[in-house]
Amino acid sequence: MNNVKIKKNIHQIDEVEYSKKFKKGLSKAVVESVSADKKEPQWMLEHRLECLQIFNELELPKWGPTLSDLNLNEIVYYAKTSDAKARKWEDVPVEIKDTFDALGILQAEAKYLSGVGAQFESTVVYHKLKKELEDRGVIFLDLDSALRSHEEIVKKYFMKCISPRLHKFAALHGAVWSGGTFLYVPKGVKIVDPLQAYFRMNSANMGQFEHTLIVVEEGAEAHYIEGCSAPRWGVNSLHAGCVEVYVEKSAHFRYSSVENWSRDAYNLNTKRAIIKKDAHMEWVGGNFGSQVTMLYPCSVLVEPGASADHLGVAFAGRGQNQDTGAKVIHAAPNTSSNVVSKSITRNGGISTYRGEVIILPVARNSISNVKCDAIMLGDNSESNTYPKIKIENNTSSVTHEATAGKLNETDIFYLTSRGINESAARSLILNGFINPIAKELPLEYAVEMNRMVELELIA
Amino acid sequence: MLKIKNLKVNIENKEILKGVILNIKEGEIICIMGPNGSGKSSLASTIMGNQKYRVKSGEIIYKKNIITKTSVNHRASAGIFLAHQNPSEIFGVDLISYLFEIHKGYSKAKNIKALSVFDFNEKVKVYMKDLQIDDEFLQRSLNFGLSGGEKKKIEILQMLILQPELIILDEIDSGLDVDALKLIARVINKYFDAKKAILIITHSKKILSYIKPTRVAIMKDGRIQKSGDSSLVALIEKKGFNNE
Repeated sequence: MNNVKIKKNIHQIDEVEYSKKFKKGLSKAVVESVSADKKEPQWMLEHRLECLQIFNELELPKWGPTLSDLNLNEIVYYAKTSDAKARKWEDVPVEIKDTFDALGILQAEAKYLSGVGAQFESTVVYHKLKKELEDRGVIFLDLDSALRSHEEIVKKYFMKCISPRLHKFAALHGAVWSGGTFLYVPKGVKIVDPLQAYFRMNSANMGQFEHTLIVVEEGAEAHYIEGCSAPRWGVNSLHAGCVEVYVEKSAHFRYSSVENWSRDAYNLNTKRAIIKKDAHMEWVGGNFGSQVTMLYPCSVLVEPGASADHLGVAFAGRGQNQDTGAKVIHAAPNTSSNVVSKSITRNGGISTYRGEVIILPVARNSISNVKCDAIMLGDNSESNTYPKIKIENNTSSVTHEATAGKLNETDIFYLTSRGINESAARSLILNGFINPIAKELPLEYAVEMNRMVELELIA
Repeated sequence: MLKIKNLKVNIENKEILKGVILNIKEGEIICIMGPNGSGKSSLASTIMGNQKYRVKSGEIIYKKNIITKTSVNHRASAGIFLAHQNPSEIFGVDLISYLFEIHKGYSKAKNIKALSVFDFNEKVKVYMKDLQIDDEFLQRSLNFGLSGGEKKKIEILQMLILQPELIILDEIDSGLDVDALKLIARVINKYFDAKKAILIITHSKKILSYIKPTRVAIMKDGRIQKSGDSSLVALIEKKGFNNE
């Protein structure tokens, strides 16, 4: 299984040169400079400033993990290494290329990906889409470039799915967003191999605010993967990305992500999809790193026959608080959703499933199934489940199932009685536990997940 | 092959084995019978090394080595096999990968070269045919959602892969219909030879029609109360466990 070479520890710091790096802290001047540096259209600058204002008005969330240690004045909101965006890896500065190589991105691109994007700090350093997809009208660019080359489409969709008023960090994101992916799949185009973007946050105190905007037109199909990591610094960093997905009539889209930020990072991410008639959206996610994660991908089923699957797995070790879940809004008849959430908690870590399923009066004959399973290792780990369910008609149904427990000693005895040593037995059981989700991820990520289980979770 | 000397074992601070003495030689098939709660299955688990069963005193000696403190997996590698009474269901671990894992472990312990995946699969298919196990189970999670009888067949499949010398069958007949019992017994009898030993744990004599014991022992209240040849079975049949 372990055929992916890891040349260096992904939480190691990379030595790179910056062409632009702002001072810490957020102000109107900072927001204006970001926009100016990107030579953005006026409407985007105005949008940023409006978001900044909303950010200043809104309070921190009153629920969930405490964010009191996160000092927003100590964050660097913008940093870039180069103005150029490469279409060949040879043109990427060698230290940065080495980083992505060590993360397995180059290898994966050569093997099976349809396209790759790579972001370092605030800007995208590499972007490439296979020629035949380009010819069929697929657009796969970093969002800053897309804003220049496809302004009308970007303007039509940008932050329409995620409103800056949703919460304080969505507003912050709107003010200082930079980089991210723009993916446009035209009507009827079915992309077989996945497209992938990788986000790397490198410096101390960094804030990364990439914006991913995806439009999958009628009858189209695609799979997009995001990977994230950051080195360990010992000071707080912040990741507040946004992912907006528009899945049009009868389209299928899968969004997979493996977020492995360092233990210093606050990962306060917002992901939302709007799903139209008979369309299907799948969220597959793994959360490992971060000291605090708050992430609840949301599906809004707006037309009849729309459906969504949410599969998520979270790992919380010492000092980690993984607050993750799903939100599904059924806003049309005959819609369905399926949520599977798994967590492994160890050494005093906290993992929480926080979910919400809302079936509106109009969403007749809708169905939602929610299943949460938690394994706790050691005595002082914590696992919580907060499912909110609201059904506003009498023809729909929601099921919720939850299990929580320790590794079963009888199972360990069983496996060891076949010659497997105890730690391998534990790892086998834990990997089996996450397998339904791991098997949906590309091999590299599945391997990374297995490795995480072995490295981080096996005492 | 196996010597158990005055073994006293606690589970959750309650004494459950109260001085068990037992010798098993190569080529022997020993059956331990006894009522529920007499300590038969506890003895099987203790021989295998389950940590839940705390050895308070006494010794377990396997092939001249004291193994009382040896870990479960090392006992397995040394050639002890326990067919569990209630095999665990391990979700997400597909049977064929699992079987290959234990084959690799076995090969490493024996210091021999493991088979290639292809050769191993071929071998497993032959075993499965003998045991009449559906090929389709190979891709399913280990024991997950299987019937009692199917699980018992998967136990014996693992026995064939691990090639053990001391085979402990803990209530192998429970959950099996007569045809499946006959089938499993045939496979075990075929595997058995003078270099091996079998310890059958059962509370019913059903299985003894198909696997003939060389010796029968009766366990009651944490001790072996009586042992003799298979004529003892007829006696139990007539008088029950309580009237010896």
